[in-house]
Amino acid sequence: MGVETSCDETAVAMVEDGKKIISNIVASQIKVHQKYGGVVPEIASRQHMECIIPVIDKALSESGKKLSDLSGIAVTYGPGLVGSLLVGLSVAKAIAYAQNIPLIGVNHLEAHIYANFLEHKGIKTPLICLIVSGGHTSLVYIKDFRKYKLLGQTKDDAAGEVFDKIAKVLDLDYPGGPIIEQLAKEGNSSLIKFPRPLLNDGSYDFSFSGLKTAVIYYIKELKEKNKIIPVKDILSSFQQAVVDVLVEKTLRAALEFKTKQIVLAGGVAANNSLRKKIKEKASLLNIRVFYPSISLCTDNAAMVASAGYYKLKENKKSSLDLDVVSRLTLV
Amino acid sequence: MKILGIDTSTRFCSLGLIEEDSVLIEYTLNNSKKKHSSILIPTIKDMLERINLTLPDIDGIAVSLGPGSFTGLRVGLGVAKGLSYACSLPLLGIPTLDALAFSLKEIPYLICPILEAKRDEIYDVVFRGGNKLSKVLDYKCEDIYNLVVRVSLLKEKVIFLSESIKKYQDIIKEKMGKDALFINPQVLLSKGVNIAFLGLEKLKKGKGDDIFTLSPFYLRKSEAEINWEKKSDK
Ligand SMILES: [Zn+2]
Repeated sequence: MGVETSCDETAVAMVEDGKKIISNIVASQIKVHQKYGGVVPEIASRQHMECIIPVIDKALSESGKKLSDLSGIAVTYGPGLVGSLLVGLSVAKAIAYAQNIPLIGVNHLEAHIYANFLEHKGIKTPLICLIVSGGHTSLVYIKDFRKYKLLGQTKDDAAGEVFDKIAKVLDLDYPGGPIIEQLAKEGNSSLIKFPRPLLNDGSYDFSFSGLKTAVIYYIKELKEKNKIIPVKDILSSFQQAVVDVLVEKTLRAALEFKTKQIVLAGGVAANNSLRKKIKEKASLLNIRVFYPSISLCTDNAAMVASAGYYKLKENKKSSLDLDVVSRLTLV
Repeated sequence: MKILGIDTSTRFCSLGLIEEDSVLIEYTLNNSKKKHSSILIPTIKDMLERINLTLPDIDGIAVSLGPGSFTGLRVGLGVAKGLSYACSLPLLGIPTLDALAFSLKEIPYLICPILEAKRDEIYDVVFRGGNKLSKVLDYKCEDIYNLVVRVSLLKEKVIFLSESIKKYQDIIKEKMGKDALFINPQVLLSKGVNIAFLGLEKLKKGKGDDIFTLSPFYLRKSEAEINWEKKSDK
């Protein structure tokens, strides 16, 4: 069983042998947080407390299994919101103790990577992984399974976070990703030349706050001059800037580390413009790109169960005094 | 019947295991350094092993619902829900302030337990003791001055119970003089034990809580909700 409550999704899944999903339940809180334009940690924690047992119960009943059938319970212990993580971890630890089964604390970022292994059988190491979501933007070199080297990460905002903030400025719904992608389709992506921060700095780090400011400033200026705001063109140009940076750095890493495979992970990996662009460019270099299906890109517990399975195989169990680590890193 | 009581609403992690009207074992850890999250389950495990019992020997899990530290309440209720779900045990949610006052229930005075809230506020309630506790003033989150004004209108002797009684003693005395009596609840039975006793009472009345829907008794909205309501009032 996998349990995931690191942000605003209460998720529980049953996975067999690390690969076969037998049930995968996600209770999203998007509607609750919408009026605040983003996730409110205290409200998220309260929601998890109300949803956790019903979601566990549903995941079990849909799988046709009982708690006594479990060989272990995997749970996200970081990174994420402390109050939210605590709900999943407390319940998971109690079940592990009561059932006398192994508890496996899982790193949420590692779980996102494992979402790929759930679906694609052909992935071989070494590979480059781009983890990109509302909370993270990291480029990772995976030399061997469970051997990670962090090449770079965002110095300020995560890519997904910038989508949310720009959506908020334009009074669009939360979360910003899907709606921006939708509107951007009909816009002209080369109309406005937004900055592409750190594009050619030689590092694998990212920075999106300058881009965010540029977009917000652009909108503000038009508003002040009482001009029409070409929302679709702005969004399309903005999305293109983000995609350009992500694709360029990921491909450069693949070339430097001579890997023939790239995997995308995290909520922003659901963005079609990113998927298309990176696939196009990678194919010219003979590099294969993998990404999970949309429902496994966003937060879910199947990926947690899968990562937990492989950790358990290496006998990496956690003790019952495991605590949450809000700023947990991959390496 | 054996009931396990869990309280993590303050910096104390307090556990009690009772059988009918006697205490089998109680643990109270002043947990200011370590987090409840890391010690709660190992402490429950240790406590049960100490008296050679296992979870299936227990007939119900009682847990303090709050008010109290939001984080602490979530750890306590999360663990209680997990245990009662996994062992199919009744779950019994108990208001923290009731547990605090429970040790004094025989005393026929007004009893006012106080817990610290954030931002110089407190959580409080006023009971009348004597055989059982009956509520005189409802649960409230307010500042100490507000409480003193409300309680002094009752013109009776009141026992104030608070782990940080020193902080409030002078303020209360100034207004209420000899009508105010003070007890630091650390000298009484632990909250964990009292939670268990109150849980047993509840279970015998057949009022177990719904493990699917039971939530902490926060008594205070989140800052975001308060701000949002202010904004939409304008
Ligand atoms: Zn995530």
